[in-house]
Amino acid sequence: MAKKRFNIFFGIILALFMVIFSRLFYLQMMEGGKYSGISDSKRIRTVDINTLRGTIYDRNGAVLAVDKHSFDLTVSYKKLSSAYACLQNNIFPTLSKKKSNTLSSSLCKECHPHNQVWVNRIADLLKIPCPDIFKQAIETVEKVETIKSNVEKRNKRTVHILEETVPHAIFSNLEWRNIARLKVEIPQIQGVEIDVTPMRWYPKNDFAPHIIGYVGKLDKKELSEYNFKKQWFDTLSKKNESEREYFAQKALTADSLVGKNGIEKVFNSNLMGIPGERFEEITLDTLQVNKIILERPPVPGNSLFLTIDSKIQGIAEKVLGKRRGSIVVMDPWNGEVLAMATAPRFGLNTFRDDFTKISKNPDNPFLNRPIQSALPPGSVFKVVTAIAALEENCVNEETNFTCNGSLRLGNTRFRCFSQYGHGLLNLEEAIQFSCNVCFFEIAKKLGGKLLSKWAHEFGFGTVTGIELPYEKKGNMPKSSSLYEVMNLSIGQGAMLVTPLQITKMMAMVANGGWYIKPHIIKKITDDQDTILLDNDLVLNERLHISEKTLDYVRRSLRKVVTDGTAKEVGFGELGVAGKTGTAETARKRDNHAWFSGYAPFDNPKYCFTITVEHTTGHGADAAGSLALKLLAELLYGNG
Amino acid sequence: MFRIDILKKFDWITFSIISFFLLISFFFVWSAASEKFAYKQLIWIAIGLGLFFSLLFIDYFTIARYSYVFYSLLIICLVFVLLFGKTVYGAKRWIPLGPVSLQPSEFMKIALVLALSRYMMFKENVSTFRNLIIPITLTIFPMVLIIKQPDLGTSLIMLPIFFSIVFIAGIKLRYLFSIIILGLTSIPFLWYLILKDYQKSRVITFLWPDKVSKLGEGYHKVQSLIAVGSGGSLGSGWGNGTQSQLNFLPQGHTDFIFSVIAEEWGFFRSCIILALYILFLACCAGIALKTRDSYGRLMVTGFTAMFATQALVNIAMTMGLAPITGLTLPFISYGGSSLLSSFIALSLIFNVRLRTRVTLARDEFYE
Repeated sequence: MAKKRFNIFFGIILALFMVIFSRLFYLQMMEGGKYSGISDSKRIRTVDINTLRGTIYDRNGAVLAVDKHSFDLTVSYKKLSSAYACLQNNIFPTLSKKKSNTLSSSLCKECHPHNQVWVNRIADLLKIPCPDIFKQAIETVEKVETIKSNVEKRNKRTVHILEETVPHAIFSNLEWRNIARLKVEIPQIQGVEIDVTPMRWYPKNDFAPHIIGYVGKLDKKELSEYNFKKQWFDTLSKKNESEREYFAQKALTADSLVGKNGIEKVFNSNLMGIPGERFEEITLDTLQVNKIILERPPVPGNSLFLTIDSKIQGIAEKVLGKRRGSIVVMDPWNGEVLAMATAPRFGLNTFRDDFTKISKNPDNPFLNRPIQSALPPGSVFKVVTAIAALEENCVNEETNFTCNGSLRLGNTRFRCFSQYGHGLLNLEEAIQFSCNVCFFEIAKKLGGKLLSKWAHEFGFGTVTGIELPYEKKGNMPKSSSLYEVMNLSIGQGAMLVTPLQITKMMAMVANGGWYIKPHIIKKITDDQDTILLDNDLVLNERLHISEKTLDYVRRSLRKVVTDGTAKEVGFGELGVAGKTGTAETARKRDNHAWFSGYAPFDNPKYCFTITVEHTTGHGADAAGSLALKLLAELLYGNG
Repeated sequence: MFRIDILKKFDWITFSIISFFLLISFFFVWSAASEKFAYKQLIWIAIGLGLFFSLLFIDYFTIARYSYVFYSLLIICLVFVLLFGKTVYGAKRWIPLGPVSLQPSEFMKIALVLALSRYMMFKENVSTFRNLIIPITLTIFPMVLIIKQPDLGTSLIMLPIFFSIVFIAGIKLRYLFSIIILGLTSIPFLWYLILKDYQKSRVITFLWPDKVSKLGEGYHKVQSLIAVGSGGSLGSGWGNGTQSQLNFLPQGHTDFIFSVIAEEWGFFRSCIILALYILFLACCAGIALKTRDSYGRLMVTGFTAMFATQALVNIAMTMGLAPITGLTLPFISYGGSSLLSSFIALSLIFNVRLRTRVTLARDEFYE
């Protein structure tokens, strides 16, 4: 019985092998001619189809960044390399010195007239001088040859590489008039084609460049360090597994454009999309396409809607003018950043042309000031000190302070803003007139620990977590010496904060102590307009702070504008509440002017922070006047 | 335990066939991928051979005693992989071990063969249908775990192993057929509950290649067919295959290595490889038949079925006869785990041959 079963067992195996054998016979012997024909003279090549990068909109749907078409002239590699060979031997012998022995001169004579034909025609049609075309050809060929020799060195044998079979773009972004002319001629020039590639275009050029960011090719370091494929394609969870697996293998090439800064960088994986692919059968001699075998259409990237309001951003940038500084406008109720203006700026479409000029500018236009410029906050920080003091019961509404214009501690004299002193005042008036001496007294009672505890509660010393790259977290020193604590209480010393952190703090005062997370992404939609992410935040966690304290502080902030340091600005009917700040730098008459607040004071709609760096003015006149212009336009259309 | 005289029983024919496969492996991995991969493969071959010879010193009955232990250990490994494994392109198959990663599913096949043979070696365990519930569970459990990874190919290889062992163990034929019918009726459930989208698409691609051309699965098949077909009778010569050298053929050194061989060596020489596989399987089956103890016989049968399935499915896949699964060609495809598991199986087969012994008293296998 066992023997019989073994016979059946092995019989089945043998029969299956026979099937395989006959299939092999059929494929290789009967149909061999057919397939070997395909393999020899015809070849299936894969051509990548570019996908469109997602569009970036503002909250109302105004386009901030979009892909537009650029027309490229592509020439088959064979044509380029024969042109290269010709070049070395007779046409422009001076242009190239390398490897003149690779191709014999007899071959060159053959192809010489042929090459002249296509180069001349293109030169005629596109109005590009002949030498330029040859120069491009040389560059391309030498690049491919280097890749090839590297591959060969690695494999220790001769190989053919993909770059030898595909057409190469030699001129990009051609004018459409020339394209039309060329398109008519193309069937007569073999191996020359017009390719449409997407090009990133920023319609408003220098509008919010730091937020939007820009794209570029991967640099060498990124290419070697990152496992880009994985990172990019992990996020495509909505695509099915097989497609992801397949594309992970050919995700990013050295030529693909990725976001380098701003939203383009942070949301690169959302914006990138999936390139399509076309398998086409070509004849090797002529490189003409016989037929298209498979085509997988590209999937465009997702669209991003920012919380930025173009109108407000425009006003903010106009108000800021050429002053070095920043303006942040935020919705205090949900943390949506409505505007984040920086000056000086750079043009997103043009900055590559005058890159050196911009990068040498001492004002550093590439700095995204609202989140990257950490400055001492000056008197604006007194709001935090006051809240801390009230909440920790160091002072109450009735506590009186006397200001003589200075306070002596040990050998050091701490000066007040007014050199004659403010006289007798309570906390409300101390905030109003920004009296340093009062806050020195408070700091003495409060101590460093409690002060830094409250500073951390308001988010100082940590990044706000806005969806922008390279955010600074500033510096919130853990102070112990009384000397230092006194400096910190008025926002001086080693403390550094970003304008966005101050805005966040002010928004929390304005909205009644609810934690907010500043954010800039409103929603993400895919190409079918399905909403992938909707950033509708709700306030759910509140700071442990009494309503009484907040009311008191808010009343004081309103008085700053009506009677206090910002009275001279003349906000008048605009219901603004806020706090001025003048942070001293080491140099004399060189201050950072701050003005941070919210409006309208009874029902806050906007929360804003204005900084002007290195100005001779003070918080009220340098920053406050900008606030007046900004709010006049925001609240009443124009002022 | 180990006596020199059993070396006389060393199966030199089978060993030389395997050596030939290993040579082919080295050269065609070189041709399909690069020198670097070929040397890596050489290192794996060396490790595999070391493992092969050292396992020969252990009596397979010692191994038999621990069959269930191995089985449970690997089940634990599979669960571990599902929970903490390294994800490569969406599949969790790997346990990272320092510089290398191992694929426990490859070793699960061997553990399953050991466990099934251990259970079936007693005649009374195959006499009734109820007794078959345990081996069926033993088979289904790892299958489900491996499908979850997801790895359909390795999972399905458990089926031929199960059927061949059960068949040789002497099960009644009507039991066998009722299992098959039960299995067939459960296919719709499998399709909707367990298979992942990409696995479905692979099956669909195989059945109707035109329908799903957008998914790109058909591309592998078309390219592989062209590669095999363009080989003709004599092939294009080693290192000259246009399909494989120009990277038109994906995974030429792992799953599709037979396409490369067929393209570069042509029909006649590919046939030699097919013939050698048949000869190798025949030798294995011969060892199983000659063994007088039922554990050894069932184990060798299981391994024979394993090798046969892998070779058949892999080669059929390159010629468009089977869906594209991740099954490797034993002893030829590039890859550490598959090579090591093949060597372990081979070593156990040799082990049985070296220690052919008298029938145990309890065994009533021969009638």
